[in-house]
Formats: sequence, structure tokens, C-alpha cells
Amino acid sequence: MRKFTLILAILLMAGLQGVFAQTRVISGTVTSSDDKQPIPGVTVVVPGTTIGTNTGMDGKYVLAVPSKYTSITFSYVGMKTKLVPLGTATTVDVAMDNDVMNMDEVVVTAIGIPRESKALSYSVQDVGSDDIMKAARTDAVNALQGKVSDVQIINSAGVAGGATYVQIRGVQSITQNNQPLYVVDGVPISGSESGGVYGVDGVATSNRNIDLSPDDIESMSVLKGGAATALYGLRAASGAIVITTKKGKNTPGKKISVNFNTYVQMDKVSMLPKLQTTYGQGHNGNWYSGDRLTWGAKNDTMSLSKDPSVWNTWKDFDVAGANVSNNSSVSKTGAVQTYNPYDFFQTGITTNNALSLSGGTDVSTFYFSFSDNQSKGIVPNNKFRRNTFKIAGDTKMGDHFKLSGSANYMISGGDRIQQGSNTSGVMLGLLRTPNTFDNSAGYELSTEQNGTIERSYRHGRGYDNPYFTANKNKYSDQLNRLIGNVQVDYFATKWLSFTYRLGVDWWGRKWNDQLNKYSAAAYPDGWNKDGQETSKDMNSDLMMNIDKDFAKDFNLKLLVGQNMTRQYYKGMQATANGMVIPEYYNLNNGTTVSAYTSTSEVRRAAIYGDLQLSWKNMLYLNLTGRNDWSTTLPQGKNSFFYPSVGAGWIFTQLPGLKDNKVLPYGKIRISYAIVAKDASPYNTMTYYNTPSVLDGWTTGLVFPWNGNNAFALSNNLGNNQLKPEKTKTFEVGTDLKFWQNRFGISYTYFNNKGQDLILSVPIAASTGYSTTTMNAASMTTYGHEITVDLIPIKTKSWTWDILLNWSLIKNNVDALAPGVTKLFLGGFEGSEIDAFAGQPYRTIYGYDWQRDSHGNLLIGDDGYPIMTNDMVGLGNVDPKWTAGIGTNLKWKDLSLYLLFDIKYGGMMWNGTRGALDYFGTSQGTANRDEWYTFQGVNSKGQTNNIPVKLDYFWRTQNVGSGFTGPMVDYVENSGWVRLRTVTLSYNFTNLLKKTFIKGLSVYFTGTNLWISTKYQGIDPETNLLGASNAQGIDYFNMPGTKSYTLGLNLAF
Amino acid sequence: MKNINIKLIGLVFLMALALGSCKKWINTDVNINPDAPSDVPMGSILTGVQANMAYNTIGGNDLCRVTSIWLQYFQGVARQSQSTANYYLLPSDINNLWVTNYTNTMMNLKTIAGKATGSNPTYMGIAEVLMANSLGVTSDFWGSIPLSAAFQGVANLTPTFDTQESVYTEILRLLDDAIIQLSTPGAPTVDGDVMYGGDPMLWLEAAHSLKARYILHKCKLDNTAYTQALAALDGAISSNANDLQFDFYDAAGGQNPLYQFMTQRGDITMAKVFIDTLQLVRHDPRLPFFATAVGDTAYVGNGWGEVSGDVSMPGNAVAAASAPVPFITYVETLFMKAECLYKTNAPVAQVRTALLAAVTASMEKWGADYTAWMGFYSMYINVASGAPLYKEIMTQKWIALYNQAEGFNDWRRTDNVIGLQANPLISAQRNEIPRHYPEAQSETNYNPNTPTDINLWSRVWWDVAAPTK
Repeated sequence: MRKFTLILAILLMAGLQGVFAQTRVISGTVTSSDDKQPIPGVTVVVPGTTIGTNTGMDGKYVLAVPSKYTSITFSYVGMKTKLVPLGTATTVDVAMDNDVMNMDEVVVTAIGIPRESKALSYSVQDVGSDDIMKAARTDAVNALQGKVSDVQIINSAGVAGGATYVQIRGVQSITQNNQPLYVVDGVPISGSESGGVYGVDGVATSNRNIDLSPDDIESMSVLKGGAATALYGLRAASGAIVITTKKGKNTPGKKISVNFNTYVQMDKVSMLPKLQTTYGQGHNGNWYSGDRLTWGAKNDTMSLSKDPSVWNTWKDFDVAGANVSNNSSVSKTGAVQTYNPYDFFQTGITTNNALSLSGGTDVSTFYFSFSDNQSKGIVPNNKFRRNTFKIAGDTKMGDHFKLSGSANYMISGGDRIQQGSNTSGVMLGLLRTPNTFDNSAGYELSTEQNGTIERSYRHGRGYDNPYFTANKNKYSDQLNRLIGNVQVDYFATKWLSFTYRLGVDWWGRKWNDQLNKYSAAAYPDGWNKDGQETSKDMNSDLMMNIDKDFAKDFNLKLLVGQNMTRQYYKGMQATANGMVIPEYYNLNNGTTVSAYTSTSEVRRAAIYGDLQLSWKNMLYLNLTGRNDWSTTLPQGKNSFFYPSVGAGWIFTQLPGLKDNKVLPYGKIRISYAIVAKDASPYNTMTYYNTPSVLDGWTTGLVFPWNGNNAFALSNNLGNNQLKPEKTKTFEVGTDLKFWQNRFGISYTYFNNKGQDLILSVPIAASTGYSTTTMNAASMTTYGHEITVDLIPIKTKSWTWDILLNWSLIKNNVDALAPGVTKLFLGGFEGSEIDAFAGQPYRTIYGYDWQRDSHGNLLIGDDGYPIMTNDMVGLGNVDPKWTAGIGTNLKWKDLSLYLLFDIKYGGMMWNGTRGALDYFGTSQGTANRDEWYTFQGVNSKGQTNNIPVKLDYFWRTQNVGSGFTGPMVDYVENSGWVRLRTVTLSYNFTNLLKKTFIKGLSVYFTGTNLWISTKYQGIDPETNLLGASNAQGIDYFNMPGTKSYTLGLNLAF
Repeated sequence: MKNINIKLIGLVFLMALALGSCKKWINTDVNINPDAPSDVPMGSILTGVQANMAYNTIGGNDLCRVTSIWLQYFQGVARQSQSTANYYLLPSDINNLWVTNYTNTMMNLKTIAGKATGSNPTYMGIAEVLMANSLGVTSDFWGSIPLSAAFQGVANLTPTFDTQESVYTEILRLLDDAIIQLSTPGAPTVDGDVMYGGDPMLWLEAAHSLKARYILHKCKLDNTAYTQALAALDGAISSNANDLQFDFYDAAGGQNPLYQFMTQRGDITMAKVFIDTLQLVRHDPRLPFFATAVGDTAYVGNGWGEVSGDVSMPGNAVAAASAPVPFITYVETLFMKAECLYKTNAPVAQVRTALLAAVTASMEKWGADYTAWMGFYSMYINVASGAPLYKEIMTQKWIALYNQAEGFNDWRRTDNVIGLQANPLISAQRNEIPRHYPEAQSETNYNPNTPTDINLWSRVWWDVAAPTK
């Protein structure tokens, strides 16, 4: 580590050296040959060096070129790159030609290899720094939302620092990770696999893609299919997000460029479940203090009373008085009031400041940045903060060697609030509280009342008052992380080079979880938990690169490499249960203290090769092969090879089609790949564990128990026959560009066939075990992706462009395991998200109403429907299709960007509404006194005509709610149309031309300002189980937010 | 050019070297979990099994709370407990019970037995006694269960179900063998026995009591069951102090399952039937131990459909943090003796003495002040005979085995001689007290051999329906 720092220090010093002498200054103006207008932002570079600059708003540039170089190149996206030889003239004006073929667009592909997009046999989409910055999201990956087809991004909770679930082209694996690999500057980092949420209750923690500062990111490329990720091998089996961070540039006449980005953002709760205010606390039409239900009297028939005959024992709870009938003879103090629980939420504030310094010479560059992001959530005391420091540089040593490296140091963490199915969860406490009870009127009692000092609507039992949770049950964490790499390039000849790159990703996180002694939670006397976890990833790549034109019209690119990785994790946790002294959170303050450690280590090695052959810039052939070795598979099965083959044909290069005005560019691409993946560690043997003595109701027993330690044979049966799982991917597509690039369309069809998929299989307990790991499942996923870009208007002052992404994915779980037709992915027993053989992945599974053969409800003699005896599939979580429509309207320096995000279909279990129908607080229970006739047929097949009431008895004593009855009525369409982003920005750079300021723009961004959905609850972009495979669960989840951001970025 | 070739070769060599190190790098020992042992001593397994049986599979909420609601000790007043009182019990409700029973309890007992075979007869005997008890509970609630094809892991993923008759044969074989093993002179000592401290003599008593219990379960099938059970009682548990029970302790993570349920869930109260029987009819001095008072001395239970929270809750005998969970007791042993004496036509004085001894033991178990009460009670008993005496034995056993799942077996095998009424608020098709647990959801899901014709009113093998009159 010390050596590493030293090298970086040297790099930085090198970068700060002055510009070399013996240069001449070249200047000029770059215009478009089309309309003769100047082009700003053209990259002007001395080939083979880092010497370069960009043209200003007036198309002008100035570049100091050392005398030994004899040419400069001009490049700009959508223009043909121009190489201009330098004579004696110091003024070089250039007119650039439109390149409708987009020939030179370069994208970053696997292992960080830049490739011309025209040469690829698969589709890659990317998002640049400007879009990332203006999306103004703490977690950069959110900037991909709606902009890239077939990428599904779900923010699991509307809390500061919550995890984000990302999925590319549907799912590939049944119980293993389905999220993409994150690669930063060629080094895979630990991203989605770690962090997240630990169950249906607890707090929403971050996953690790939140640690990177979006301001440091130059671009994010999304590698979707097997052919695109084949070189990364097994870790990228679910796709990859390749992040390229910013680097220093050599800008002559300028030693240091400074960039400053800042924004302030306000978050507001967007959608909330609708509640009734007609009826108050109690049951069966009567008020009872402390009653769990809101099935009491009509509020307008009730008054408040402080008469000692009715207001005595529970005075401190019912602070406004007892509720009595208007007709009661006791003294009254006024009418019963109702309270809005949503007053609990506050306006969240996020501030983000990022500063970067960069610069360079023709031998060295450097980049340094610092950022600070602070969020205050919509729930009181929910906070998140992230600081990042980045330093990067490179230097050439002679003509053959280049040394580069970077280090990102990050500190992130926050104070998090209990959520979900958790008696301390704030939404649970808020929404179950009767509208006649005011949670905000104090959450602590001055004296211990009936064994509690907590004031809550159930007399300090049951659920915590949300104000108590937000103030008294604290969870905080802090993470320190270093992502760094060093790279040595050796350019042996013009066509042969070698690269060695070593990357590390180390993070350590400590957390503290406090449950107050007086919490109403199920855990008597609270707890203090302290945990520490460390993750150390190492990645090493040694590569040889050949790029050679070996005959007329033939080019060969060959990459051969060797890779070694190690992923190591160690976690330690200690719990003091049963606080002796209130609010003294220390491990020595429990009646029982227990501790455990968990370790995970995986090592892998690989050799890989990538061959690209091209002929006449028209036909491209790609071949890759990779052999992996992994420690997680048993000896003899731990070495596995998988290939990919692809071809691209730019048919518009055919003599007859060349230079066609209507269709100047057309390409057909096709690829086939196999990607194999290993198992998770420690599944080849059966172990003994500390016994888990739990009955599903209570917190159970903790070992060591009364001084006795114990072990039990694990319920998970090891399997020493595991082999890698395989996914075969076929992809075909076309890219067409029409009319001077004003209209473009890309289409891709893909088909993924997963075989021998490794899954944790539930087995009948009578085998003596409840799960084992097997190569058992198979799954097919196929889909269509269409991207359309259109520029309806392009004049000197006006530009209007539209980008549309549409994707449809179909998925079928072909088989699970022998005898297994259903696999629990997550949720609650009876309300599950499952993988179901013969059905799409993520089927919602639960009880239904009994129906006749036509699907009509069967109505009993009492006029009510009847619950099924068995659970059935009730819908699929994933959407039928998704689309993003982005449009940018620009007038001179003012631009307006709108991004609509459409999710069509996809079901979600609204467990919140199901429970609130039981508690009587939901809007749906306001009709409790009305007669209602269920549509259905009776046992004789006749139409039901028995009127009933959806009353206290039906909802709470019978099967008339999501708590007591089937989940079917609470499975809702969670599709949406939303205005994901609206950005209005103004660029002042032109106005400030004469000043030292190189760039200034101001923008306003609104996120989720408008949503249209049928979902009857919070923003349906949510998930109880965070970034896990079990999506589609809303059970007292934190509500989502809409946000308003004002930002500024400044460069000088 | 030559220069470059040399460098090239050098680098290719380096690559090869890196590959060469793969063998060391990819070492399958890396895949051995450092946080979980692959072998452990028998004693450490035994502790975990006993705890799991006490908390889950013998004394847990899914057995005792459910049957206590059905036998009207408790009333279910909210959520799932209310459904239980309305005779709903879903396959998913008892899944945890089934799974922990087969895995955490019985598979681990099999593991101990496997290790103890031929090496330690005491471990062997203890494992057999606990296995017999576990199989008994499992079979009594589910009838046919996997046994001969079970516990084989991946070798048999879909075990067939054995008839309850063959399960009972195995239970009695296990107990007979346990009696032999535990009688082995000079056997090595055992560790981790938190119930009996490793004393084989105490386990021997428990084995005899259990043997009598499981023979007695067959009384509707076989008239000689009473004679056989009486014989088995020779050598059975000889005092309250020798009860096979698990003692919990009052610290977080150490407490009794019903205590944890009451503090963490609630949802049940005392039932009117039990409270009224003890308070109004019998003035039973055990009531303060069985239920909490409302006010100073008043005891109130919820009737059918009542959900009041201001009534008596389960008392310290069953719901204190450190309340023990009994597996089999001296009290039950004495009641079995009284019942068998009655059924084998022993002299009535002998039956009366046996009943009074059983009731006295139950009083002493909880430290009730019973002297005065017992004076009245024995006067009443000493004139009882015939069917009323039999009903009194079973009623007293129902009281004494408060919140023990064994009471549910007694209720079924005596065909409700104590005269419990079913919940009258329930519609006609389900208005009888259930007699069977549904098959567990996970077993149905993953084992196609699971019976599909079972409902809450199915009858286990020994629970034959009384001939219709």
C-alpha cells in the first residue's frame, strides 16, 4: 500500500511539471462543411500523445505543438475525424464533414477495451457525464433510468442512502445474483453483491454502487448480452456496467483546469396510501382506549371528555381526552379530532458539491477531485453522507512505457430508520394508528406507565410510535473504501503492446443498531448490536494486444490475457440483548451477549482471448474464448471454457449502396455466446452451525444458552457434484441511419437459454435437510429492444432531438429441480414472490378466492366469497414492456430536457393496503356501513344477490382483509407513466467568453414530478427486500419521493 | 526487431509463469468454510436438540398454543390465533414446526445416534428416548409420516410415508432399546444434557413413562393397552423432581416460548371454559398459577367470539420467563396409572387413591396451597365410581396437563369424555373441534408422496371413530 501511494505521488508530481519547451503554437477555427457554422467542443489532438484541446464556443482553438510532431487531428462525434499535416503555417482552419456513418464513435467494451461501435457484433449503450450530472442523483446508476433499453432500475426505498436494484435484460439466474458487474476503469468492483437489505424488516442499507461520486464519472457503458460480456466471464453473467472515470487532459496554455459542480435538492413524499377519517379507534363500533383497530364509532358522533369517570388510567396516552358518544352525559371538552399521519414527513434536503482539478503535459496528466454529498431524508433523523477523494494520473517513460494509476477514497454512511415488517417500522406505526390518536403529541412519558415509557396508540405495546422510532431506535453505519488501480503499458511496436493492470477494492463498514429498552418492539428490553465487515477484492490482468493491418483491406486485432481475482469478505457481529440500563448502548449492557463471524473467500483465475478480423471496413468477425478456474466448485469440475462468436456486416459499404443519401449507414449484427458461472462459496460440504431455535413467532433462543454452547447439523445439504451453470445467448440486430443522421433506428433480438442453473433448492424436510444446492434449473429469456433517435429540427439556433428506447422481455422458468415446481424467492409465508416452473420468474403466489370454471367468484350462503385452500400464482412482477422517451429542445444556450419513463404492466403485492383493510384505517374501509353485493355465483350456479356489509366482522373476524384472507385482492398493477426527469438549463459560457471562466451553466432538474399509475399506495417503484431477487413486495415500505434540484457547474 | 523478440518472449514467459501459479491459487481448500465446523462433539448437538424440542417441536407455540385454543385453555383473540379459534390452520401455518422437527430435532438425533452406536450407550439411549418422543408427537398430529425412507438427504428426496402403525412399532422399539442402552453398567458419561445432567437412571424413568404413554394412545384399537401400559409404568418417573422437562431462564434469548409469545405477539387470553371450570365449579387452588388475575382475585376468560384484552392471561406455571416446558412428567405418569387401574377394573379404592395422588402431585408441582381444598375434594372423590369417576380422572388430567400437547391426544383417544363444546359461532361444515394437523406446505410442495386427503377433521390411525349408536 505504501508503494502504491508513492507511485501516485510521483504521478501527481509529474503531472504538475511545466509544459515542455520547443513548441509552436497552432491556432484556427473549426467549422462544419455543411452549414459553415463554427463547431464548439471539437477535440484537437496531436496523434499518439496526450497533447490536445477543445474548440471554444466560437469554434476556435489554440494548441501548442512540440516541434517534433508533424500533424494534428480534429474529431467530433458525428463528424469525420480529420488528420491535418502541419506545415509552417501557424493558422490551421478546418472544415469538418458530417459523418453520417458514425464511423468513429468509440465505446468502451469488456476489460476496458475501446472499440469502434461499428465493429461490434452486439449492442452497447452508454450515458455520458453531462446526463449523469444533470440527473442529480446520489447513486450514479440512476442516471441510466429510461435512457438505456432493457435496463431496469428500482430504488428500493425512498430513504436517503437506500439500495438500488439493477437488472439488465431480465434475469439469468434463479437464486444467485441477477445484478450486473460494475467495472471501474477496467477493474471489477464489489457492487450490487454486497450491502442491501437483510430481510423483510430492519433498515434499508446502501449497496455499494452508491459509493462512487457521479461527478467523477466520464461515461457509463451498459454491456448487455453474453457476447458483450464474454471476456469478463462469469462475474458479468448478468451484464456489466462499465464506468470510465474522468482523467486529466493536456490543455496547452493552461496548467490546471478547475471544475466545480454543486446542487441543492429538495425531496418531498410523492404518493401515499389513502386513509379514511370517518371512523375512529375501537372495534365493533365502540371506542376503546389502546384498541389496535380503527373499527370504532363514526367520528362525528363522538366527543372528547376529560371527565375522571372515563379519563383516568390512560390519561397520558389519550392526551386530548377519552372519546365518548355525543349523547353521553359526562362532561365534554369538544368534538373528536382527526390527525393526518403524513404530517410526520418532512422535506428532505440534499446538497452536493464536487470540485476537480486536472491538467497535464504531453507526457503526464493528473486529475484530482473531492466531493461532498449530504442528504437529509423525508423521515426525521434519516441522514446519508458521502465524501469522495480521487486522484489519478499517468506518465510516459520513454517511447515504450506508460504508467498510470488512480485511487478513489470514499467515506459513506448514514443514520437509517426502521422500515417494513417490523414493529418499529415507521410506516407500520404511522398507518396502523387510528386517525383519532395523535402520535405527534409526545412519544415519551415522563413516568413509567404500565411498564412502558413510550407513548403509542396501543399503550406502548404492539408497534412503536413513529416519532419514537425516528428518535430512539437508531441505526448508523459508516464505510471507508478504497478503489485503486495501477497500470503499466508497454508499447513494443506500433502493432504490439502489453498491459498489466492491478486493481483493488477494499472497504470496511461498521454499523451500530440500537433498539430502545422501552420500544414496543417484539424484543423485550431492546438491544445493542455492533458489527464490522471488511471486503477485499483484488483483480489482476495481464494482456497482450495486437492491432495490425496484415494485408490490403484486412485488419486483425487480437487480445490475449490472463486474469486472477480474489474476493474476500469477513464480517463480525456482536449483540447485547436485553438492555439493563436504558439508552446506554454498549455490548456490556445486555443480559445476553452473543457474537458471530462470517467469512467468504473466492479465488478465480482465467485466460482469455479476443480476436477481431475486419475486411474493408465492411465485414467484422469477433471470436472470444475464456477458460475459468474457480475455487467454489469441486475439484475436477472447477475448470471450464466458454466461447463466443459474432459478426457485423455494414452492408451500405457494398459498392451499389455506398454513399446513398437516404440510407447512408446500415449494419446487421449477429452473435452467439456461452457464459458460464460458478457457485457461491461453501456449498460443496455440509457443516454444523450454531442452532437456530426459532418458532416463526418469537425471537427464540440465543446460544450460548445459559452458559451452554451448541451446534446443529446444517439444514443446508452440501453438494460435491456442483458444476458451472451455463447461459447460451443468441443475439441479432441491425443499426440503420437515415437522412444525414436525422433519423436512426436500432433493433436487437436476443434469446438467453440458461442451463444447469445453480440454485438453492428447497427439499422436503423429511430428507433431514431443508435446502441443497444443485445444478437443476433451466430458464429462457428472450426480448426485443428498439432504439430510435430522431432530430426533427436542427437549425442554427434550434435543435430538437428525441430518443426513444423500448424493450420487451419474455421469461419462462422451464424447470426448477426434480420434484420442485415452486421456489420461494422472498416475502412472507402465504404472500410470496416465487419462481414457478412453467411460469415467468417472480410470480406472485398466494391464496385466491374460490371460483367456478368461468372464473366467477363462488359466493357462500352468507353472501361472502370463500378463500381457496391452496396457494396459486396471482401475477407476474416484471413489466410486459418498458420504454423511455427523452427529448431535448435547445434554443441557443437554453435547453429543456424531458424524460418520460413508461413501465407497462407488472404486478406488485400491496400488503400495506391488505393489512390496513384489517386495521380499518384504509380508505377502502370507509364504506363499512354500506350494503354490498359480491359479484359471483352461489353453489347452485345462480348469480349472487345476497347483500352484505364489508364490516368489522368481515374484515377482522373473517377472510375479508389481506391480513386474514387471500392476497389476491391486493395484487395490483404497478405499471406507470412518469416524468422521470425534467431539466431546464442555461449555458452562460458564450456570455463569459472574454473572462477567465471557461464554462458556466445553471440547471433545474425535477425528478418524478408527475406519475400516472393505477397502483393504490406509495410510488410503485419500491421494494421491501431492497436490491434482492424478490422484487414486487410493498409491505409498509417507505414512500418514494419527488425532487427539485437547482444546480450549477463552473469551469475555469 | 531482435530486441523486441526477446522482450516478447520474456513477457510471454511471464504470462506462462502467472498461469503456472494457478494450481496454488485455485486451491479447493479455500472453499472450506472457516466459520462452520464439519464435525462436532455429540454433547454440543444434544444441547441444541433439547432446546429445539422444548422451544419448538414439543413445547412450542405451534403445538401447545394451537391445541390449548382447541382444548379451550386459551381463547384466540387476534390475528392467526383468532383463526385458530375459528378452526383454521393453514398448511403454511405449521410449516416451521414440521421443518424444524425433521431437521433441527430428528435429523440431529439421528446424527447423535450414528455417532454413539457402539461407543456410548448413554448418548444412544438419550437419543432414542428423544427420538421416540419426537416421532410420537409427529405421528400423533400428522398420522402417516416419512420414517423408513426419511433422513437420507439427496439419496432419497421424496421419502414415502409410513403408516402410523409402523411408526408406533418403531417408537416402542426405540424405547425398549433405550431401556437396554441406559441400563448398561459402567457406560461413559455424557455432556450437554441440560435436562437430566446426563443421569441414565432418570432417562430410564422417562423411557418407561413414554412407553406407557404410547401404548395407552392405542387404547381405542386394543383393549389390552391398559394392561400393557400399567406394566410399562413399572420403573416410570417417580417424583415431580424427576420430570423430563426443559427449564428456561430469565434473560434475553433464554425465555420460555409462551412467555416470548405473550410479550412479543399476544393475541391470546385465557378461555372462559377453563377459567370458569377452575374458578366457579372447582375453586381450584392452582388457578393463580395457571392464569393472571384481573384486579385482585377475579379470573375472567374470553368466551367464543370475545376479544377483550382486560381478561386473565396465561399465568406463571406456563408463561413465566423461566417456566419449564415438560416433555413427560410424574403427574402424567400418575394419571396414566389412575386411568389404567380404572380401565382394568381395579378395586375402586385403588383408583380413587391413584387419582388423588395424581392431583396432589399436580398441586405440589406448582406449590399450590391445597390442604384445605384437598379435604373437600377427597370427600367428593371417595364416593365417586363408574363413569363419573373416569370422567373426573380425565378432567383432572385435562387440568393438570394445562398447555401440554399431550392433552389433545387424551381428548381424542377418550372421544371427548370431558365434554368440551365446539365453537358454536362457526358455520356448519367445520363446527367440530379439529383432530388432525394439515400436511405442511413445504412437504406437499417438494414431496409428491405427501397425502392429499388430509384435513383438520381427519383421524389418525389410533383415533378410530366410536361406533355409531
